[in-house]
Amino acid sequence: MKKYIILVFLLFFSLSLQANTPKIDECVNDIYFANSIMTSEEDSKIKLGFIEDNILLEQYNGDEAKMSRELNFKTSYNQTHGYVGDIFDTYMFLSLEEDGWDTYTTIMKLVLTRGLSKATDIAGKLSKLSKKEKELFDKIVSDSGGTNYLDIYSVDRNIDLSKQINDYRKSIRLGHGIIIVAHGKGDIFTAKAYEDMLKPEGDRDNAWLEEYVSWMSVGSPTREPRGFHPYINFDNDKVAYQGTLDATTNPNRSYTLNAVNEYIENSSDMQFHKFDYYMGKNISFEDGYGRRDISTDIGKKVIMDFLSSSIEKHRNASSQWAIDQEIEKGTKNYRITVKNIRDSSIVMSEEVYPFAASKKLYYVQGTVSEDISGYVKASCGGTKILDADIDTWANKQANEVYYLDGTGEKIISEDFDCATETCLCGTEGQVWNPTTEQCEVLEKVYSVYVGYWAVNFQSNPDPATNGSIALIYLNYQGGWNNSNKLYRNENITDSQVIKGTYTGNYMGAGHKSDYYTDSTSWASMRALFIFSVGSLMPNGGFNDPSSDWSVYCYSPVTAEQYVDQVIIELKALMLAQGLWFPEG
Amino acid sequence: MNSILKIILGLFLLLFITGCMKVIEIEGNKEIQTNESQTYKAVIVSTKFSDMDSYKWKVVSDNKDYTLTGETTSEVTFNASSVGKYTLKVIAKKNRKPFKATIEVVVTEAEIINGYVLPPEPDEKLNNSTLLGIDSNDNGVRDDVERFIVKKYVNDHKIVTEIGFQLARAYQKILDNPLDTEVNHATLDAAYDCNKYFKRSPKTFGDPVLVNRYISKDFKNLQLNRKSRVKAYLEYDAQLSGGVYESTKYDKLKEKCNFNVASLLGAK
Repeated sequence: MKKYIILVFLLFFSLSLQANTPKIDECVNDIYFANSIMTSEEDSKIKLGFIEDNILLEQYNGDEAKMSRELNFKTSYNQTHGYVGDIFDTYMFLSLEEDGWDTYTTIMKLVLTRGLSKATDIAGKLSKLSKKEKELFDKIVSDSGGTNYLDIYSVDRNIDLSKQINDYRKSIRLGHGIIIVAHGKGDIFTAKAYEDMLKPEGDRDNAWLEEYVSWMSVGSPTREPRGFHPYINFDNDKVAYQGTLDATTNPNRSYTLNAVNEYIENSSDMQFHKFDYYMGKNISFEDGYGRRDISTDIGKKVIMDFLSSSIEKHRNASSQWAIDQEIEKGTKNYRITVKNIRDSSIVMSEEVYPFAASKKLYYVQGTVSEDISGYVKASCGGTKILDADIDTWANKQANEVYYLDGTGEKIISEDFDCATETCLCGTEGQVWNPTTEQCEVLEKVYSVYVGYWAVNFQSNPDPATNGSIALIYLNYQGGWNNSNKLYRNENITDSQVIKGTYTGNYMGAGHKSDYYTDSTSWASMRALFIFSVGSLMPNGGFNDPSSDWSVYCYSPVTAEQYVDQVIIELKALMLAQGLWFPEG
Repeated sequence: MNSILKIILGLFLLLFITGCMKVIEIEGNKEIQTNESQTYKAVIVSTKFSDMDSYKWKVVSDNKDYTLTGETTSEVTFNASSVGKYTLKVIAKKNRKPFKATIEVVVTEAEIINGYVLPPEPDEKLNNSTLLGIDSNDNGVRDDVERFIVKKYVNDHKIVTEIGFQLARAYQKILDNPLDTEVNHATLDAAYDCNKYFKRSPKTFGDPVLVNRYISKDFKNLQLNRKSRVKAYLEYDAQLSGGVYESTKYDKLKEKCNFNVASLLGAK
């Protein structure tokens, strides 16, 4: 009894665990906002909300459901220590990094360096420090000797970084693309997190993660953005570094009214650092001219373009997952198992519906219990798996067993009888291509006739529509081995029996001449042509339909190849029946 | 003789001082509004007594438009329907010795805006003497903040006021225990999500757009109007540092509102 209880418990536990395990989804992007100084987590979320709102309007046309399926929004939060604390934190962060990092300076450093040499007067003024705070600040800087700074927040920062790095890695390992909009101080965190994220963990390589990261710096204090990633720095943003970077000219300027009533332009202003301002929001701005609302959409455009291209980039990024094993291929039960080609320690053991094996891996969740839920390999956008035995879809073909709503991709079963109509790709003039595992529109021959003895052939009405085959042009290509080509069009009408008119040493293939522009009528007629090499001639009758040959529809060959194939078969049959005598 | 006299005088003095020392006091609001039930408690302030044998409460006023319940216990509930001055008296006895205390209560007309009965404007000093301040109607929103919210959104749909209350309650929760990070974050997030729903997503679900911004900015400065309150808030915020926080999905936003949305939408 005890065993059963343990068993039930374990079963329940494992089911719970399974239910809570996040699904791999290579079509999802996680958009992070990494905040700058003086930003609470609550404010950070509101700024992320600006990004969300704009993407919803500009890229999803207000379709929240679609955006929700494809994007997650997250804040990568680093805490505020108050203005001076944040400046100090930023500076410490930059000055204590390993090689490479030391070369990165900030405007914060300038503030602090000047503060060090002048008892932090300037820094204090800029930072609006109280007298007591100034003394403390000066003491901290002095105690640290100006070079070996006392890093009062280092523990916090390391914890911040490791949590964020873990989340970035986790996202990518779940197949997500990560897109980081890093503002001000958040860019320093992001740069370091990016660097560390790609470092190996023991034997585990992480360099490949880079392909799935997009990152943009907004008003960054770092001298150069890390790696090749986009940035925007207004030329008069007080926090953004104004060095070798190409700064963006801010159409709004800040002025001071001097003692002789002249307006002097300030080189920079803290208010231009606001993320809201970069995102095109109206901000209440105050300078020597007084208070006024200002905005510009320059920054917003750059940021939104970055987001749009980053989303697209991940959509087109290669899949981490490839086929491991194929199960019951060619049947309705055809599934694949997959393996992660980037990191073998990432395992996904569920069977997958192979709609397009080279494309993305993601989970399609049914909305009701009767719906199929499961992993698919397919183009992004699949919303529902339809079952041919239950559901219907546009232009559904007999050999299609599953259909992925949203992408239009299908799983085709090869397990069908090609001697019957069910083998046909259908009424759209398509043929089954086993290489691509798709019905494809290929130029196909739908009739072959043999010269020399001449062969009668007949067209029948389409059984599905009982319609007519009206006015078909046959191209006759004559001559053995195409040596003596002869092209000719001849009209055939419904159920017409054409007597063997042509004698001599030629044979040919027919296809509808306007096939390329009217593919819908082509295939059905092709299939319904019946070739007879039964009794023929001398009376011209069509009297042995038992020997009919349906044209094989599944052969992925060109018209020319197909002619060759049928000719061989015809020749063999005719020889056997004494209907054809090779020359010579 | 002289010494004996001194001792006797000393004893008399001691008895006099002891007799003058307060033994009980009444705790409760001195300013309340009409029809607002308020609790008043007789509290023993002398270390000489740990309890009393009995209590007897009484109200002295010019009118009889009041109710008092629990008159023979240490705690009463007082409610006045008319404006005026009321004096609450209590006599507590210990070993037949009576101890008295009184409190003057001024009852003013309740201010009703947009259907909300506003709490009285709290005494600033008293309100700012603690992190949580005064919440006289015990609805989780500090009285000065509540008055501000109701007045600020008087021309908006009631839901905007309710969103304000939800945010204000979340802030109070943070101030109450800044280190209860998970609960605090979830509570504040829920209020933000409710705001977000009525700002961004209502059309998707056939509801009206009721607000065009995040309203916390309107009263966050008031809510955190003391260094101690800012400090507590930053203490909470610091706990979140380094975390990655995912936005709530659009179809889960509405359920984060902690008030009856359907009823308020129906009421218009």
